[in-house]
Amino acid sequence: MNIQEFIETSGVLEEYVMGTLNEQEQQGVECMAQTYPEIQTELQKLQISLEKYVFLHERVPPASVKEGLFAQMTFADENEEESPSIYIDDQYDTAEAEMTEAYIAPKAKQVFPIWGVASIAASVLLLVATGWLYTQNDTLRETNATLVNEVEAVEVSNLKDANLLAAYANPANKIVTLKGLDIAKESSVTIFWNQNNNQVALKVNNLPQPAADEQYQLWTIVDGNPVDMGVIDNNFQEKLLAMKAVEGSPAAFAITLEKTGGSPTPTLEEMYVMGEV
Amino acid sequence: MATKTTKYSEEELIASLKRNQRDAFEYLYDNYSAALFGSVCRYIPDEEKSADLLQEIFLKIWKNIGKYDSSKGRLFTWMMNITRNTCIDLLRKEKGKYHVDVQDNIIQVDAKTHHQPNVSVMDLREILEKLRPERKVLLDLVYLQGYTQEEAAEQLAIPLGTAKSRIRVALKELKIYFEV
Repeated sequence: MNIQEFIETSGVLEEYVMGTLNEQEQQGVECMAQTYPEIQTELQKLQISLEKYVFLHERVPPASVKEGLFAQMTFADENEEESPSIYIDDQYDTAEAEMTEAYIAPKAKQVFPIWGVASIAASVLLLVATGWLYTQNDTLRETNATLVNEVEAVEVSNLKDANLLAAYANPANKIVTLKGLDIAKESSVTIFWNQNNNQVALKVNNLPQPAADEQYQLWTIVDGNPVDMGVIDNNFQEKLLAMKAVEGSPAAFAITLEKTGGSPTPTLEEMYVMGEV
Repeated sequence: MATKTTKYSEEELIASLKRNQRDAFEYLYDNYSAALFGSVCRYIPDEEKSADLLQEIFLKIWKNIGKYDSSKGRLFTWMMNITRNTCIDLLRKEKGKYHVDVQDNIIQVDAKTHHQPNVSVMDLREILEKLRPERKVLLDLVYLQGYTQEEAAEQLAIPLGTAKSRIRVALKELKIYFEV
């Protein structure tokens, strides 16, 4: 359990100093305070704050109170026979009954009955467990958020794979593989050309990432002339990209690197991949 | 405030109180009675009855000082607990007799605070103005007037959770204002 977090967020210490905890909970906090100096320090701070707050609401009592009070009191340095300890013994029952509610500090040598000790232990355990659960809950929340993101990512990639599979599986599709030319031999692009409606989609398997002001452009070669098939989004990884529909009877597909937005005619020196139909 | 020149540290004071020395109890009374009386008056608006109760409270403090354990909390906190419990006991015994509406009580008691606080207290009062009224009212009800958090929430017609969090924030603010 993170003690600092417990101090700042549990609210238990505030309830303790406000006097709103029940007796067992109070004892639990006292046990914790003896184990953790940070808790002791925080309790002191809270108590001093409240003390100062109460002093803002001071009202001077009538002078008669002090006189009446001290007339009823006897002191060690004045009259030994009537020390307050004897007084307490005489009125033990009433005094004790009153004090069970009134005071928070049990006598140092007081022996707790076994159930008392057990209940204190239970309270402390509960507090510790609450603190731990709180931390745990936070961790779980984080983990949960991470998992949600991961699941979303997996779903998206799954969808892409599904699209890709569908593209391969579709019997109407003619698949043309464009292979890397000398400029980048490792390059590879797959074209899916739907023979029914001439729609074209492509999947970049491997192409060097273009500069910010450059873009790849797809071409068909129809009757020996290049025909523009559209530019390829630079964010092409792992995607099935829809291109323009084929017109006429292309002999080959090719991709060149052009300025962003594409060119009316291909820059042949910058041709990366080509595949014959 | 203090009529004696003797100045005690908290440890010295506690030790002398436990030895049942008159000077220590006089010092205690002179320095703390107004603070405790301010709280008693919040419970019981009847000044005469409050004065009787204050006497009863100090007698309890005197009789039970031997049981006070400084490792479990500050002396003043212990005295405030005795004050709270004595007042609540009386209110229970004489149920209905001292019932005062929450809002009335606050206004009434504040209006009755007629003694002149010293300068440092005035400064602190200014600091306190910063405490948001909806938080202050809860702090007062629960700490100075002995309401349970449930009762205070009910009185103010707000959810218990809201009451609890306002009290927590108020305490955090007090810590900052008083630079504890």
